[in-house]
Amino acid sequence: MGKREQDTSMEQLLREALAARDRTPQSECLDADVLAAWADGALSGSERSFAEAHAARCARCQAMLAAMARTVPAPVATPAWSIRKWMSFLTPVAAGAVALALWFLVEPRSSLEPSLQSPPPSPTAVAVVPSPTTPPASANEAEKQHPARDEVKPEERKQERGRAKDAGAVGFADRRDQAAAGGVAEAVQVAPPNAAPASPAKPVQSPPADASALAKAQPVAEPVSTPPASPPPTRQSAANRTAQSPDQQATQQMDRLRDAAGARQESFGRGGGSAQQFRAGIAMFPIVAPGGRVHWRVTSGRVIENSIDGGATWATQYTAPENGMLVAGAAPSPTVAWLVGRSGAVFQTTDGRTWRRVPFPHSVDLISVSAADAQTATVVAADKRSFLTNDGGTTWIERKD
Amino acid sequence: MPTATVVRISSEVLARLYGQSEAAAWGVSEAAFAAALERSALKTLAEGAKDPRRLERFLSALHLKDLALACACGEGTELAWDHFIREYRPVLYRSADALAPGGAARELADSVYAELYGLEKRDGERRSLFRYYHGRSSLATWLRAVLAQRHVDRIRAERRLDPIEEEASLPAAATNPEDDPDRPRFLALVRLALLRAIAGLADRDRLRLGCYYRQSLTLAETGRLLNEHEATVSRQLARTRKAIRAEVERYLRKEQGFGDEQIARCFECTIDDPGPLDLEEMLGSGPPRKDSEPERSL
Repeated sequence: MGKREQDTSMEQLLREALAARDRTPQSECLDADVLAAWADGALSGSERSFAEAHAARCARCQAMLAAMARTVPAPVATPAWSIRKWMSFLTPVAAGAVALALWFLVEPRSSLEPSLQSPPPSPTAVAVVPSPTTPPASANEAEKQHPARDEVKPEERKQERGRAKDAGAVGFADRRDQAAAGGVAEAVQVAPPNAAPASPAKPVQSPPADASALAKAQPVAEPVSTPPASPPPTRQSAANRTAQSPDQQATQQMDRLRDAAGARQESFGRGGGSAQQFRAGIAMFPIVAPGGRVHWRVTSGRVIENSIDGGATWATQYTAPENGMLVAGAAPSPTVAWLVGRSGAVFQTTDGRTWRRVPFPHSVDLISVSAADAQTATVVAADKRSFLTNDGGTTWIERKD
Repeated sequence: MPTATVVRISSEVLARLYGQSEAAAWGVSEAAFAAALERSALKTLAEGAKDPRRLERFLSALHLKDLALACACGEGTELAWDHFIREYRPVLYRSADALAPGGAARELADSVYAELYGLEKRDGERRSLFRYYHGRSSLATWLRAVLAQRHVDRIRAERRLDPIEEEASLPAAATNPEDDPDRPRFLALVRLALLRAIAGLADRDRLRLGCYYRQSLTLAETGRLLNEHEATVSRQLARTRKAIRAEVERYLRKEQGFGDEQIARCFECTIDDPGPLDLEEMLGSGPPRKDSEPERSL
């Protein structure tokens, strides 16, 4: 028997083997209502079992199911990105920021001091965000409100500085010391918990002597009382930053603090980017890994960039296939990060350098992710369903809670 | 004589559902909408529709807005039709193009469109296809299902008119005895064993096998149908292939008394050229299909 005949015989073999269901009477076939309900996942358990049992033996129904599968429309992302939907998760982010600002304003100073003496807090520590709308107070008022600063004796200050150095907060402690010695409130760097930033009194703290000092100081000091420096809006070298006026630096620092607050939320699965960014479809959002040194950010919703120096310098690691594809991310460790986005896009790095696309079974728009490690992550879809993986994305389980 | 099940929807529930459906915007009366709800409940729940809580749960889960639109279109409301044409005709055409990229299914989509409008009259009344939409799925999915149904039926009808050529290529007729005198017999036996093995599969395994091998769906498409991840589909297909091969071997060994060499020759007869259906992998003798044909994996 020649090859051609063999092929034909085998085809006949399988066709016959799989076509026994052709004999099923058509009266039992699934109607359009049931087929559509199957496709939309609206059949009850027993209905589904019955329908599967029938389709397993019915060539017509199987062909109809196959035709249905072939006509699944490409997901249209536009409706899912309505302002209302984005507001649904931006609202808690904004609420969190307000709560942080309130905490910052109300919390007594003493609660800040122990943090200077203790080792850096856990990576889940919440960033301190001064309220940008707080009315400015004069330096003298600030000093009056915080006599404790003056009460710190030089010996204590030295001890404190030593402890801060031990805690890795050299730059922060030094600047704080300088400001206290100069009798001027630090509007941004060490804004007291219950004092308003003193905008008329410009921060007199001079920039670090060299760019590397600033680059080192900011991220190291971050776990103590300031959030990690978030990626600047444009690529800007540390040297350029040192050349800016203190006003500009203060403004930028405020921006970074606000961004970093967003980044913290991002890391814990609350989506990212401002409403305007998402509306504009440019979605640039930062992700900060625990420790504050390693950052990722996504620009144009597709270009994944990485920084290992707290956001001072950036390198492109991966470019996703489509613009606006990625919208949120989480980094449970400096080497592990998850990014999610439209049409079931899930990407993961487990070495901090290379990215892979994680298969996701649904073509839904994903709007946030929270991750515990490289194996465990939960993603939330625009339709509010959430899916959990415990095996690095190999399988996903829809969470019913 | 059995009595017909009567669906009783409480006025509160009906008012709530009617409000949610926004049927009033299309000019659909509450009574007409209630009739549509009753048809839907009766079709799906049958006797279960007598349970008020179950009935309310079922009705609340319906695509009420789509059902209201379907009611309005079924009644021929112009405003509703305008909306339907604008929103759903592209769905029909996109689906038609997906089924037959050459445009052959467009004609089918148009005929569905005519059925939806209800050109056919019965007892003097226009019968719209919308009458059969019950709101369990979205209207767009239901339209795809209707189109898929028509498409498959047309293909099957055309096939019935084709000459049956398969009979001419049965293994025995196609075999050249000079190649291997045992081959026809081996092929027939493998064929029989294969039939038995597939017949013994669980429904879900059989459906998965059919979707992938017979309907040539991708792993992802098969997974969507069966609510499985494509990796699971791949794994389950591999398991099923292994089970089929084991069953074929068992049959040849136990029921035909074949030894290892004969069994190997039987498989050689069928798998040395996989052919268009890749029987080699089907019987688990070759590399996984995913590796050999990555383009079908996604």
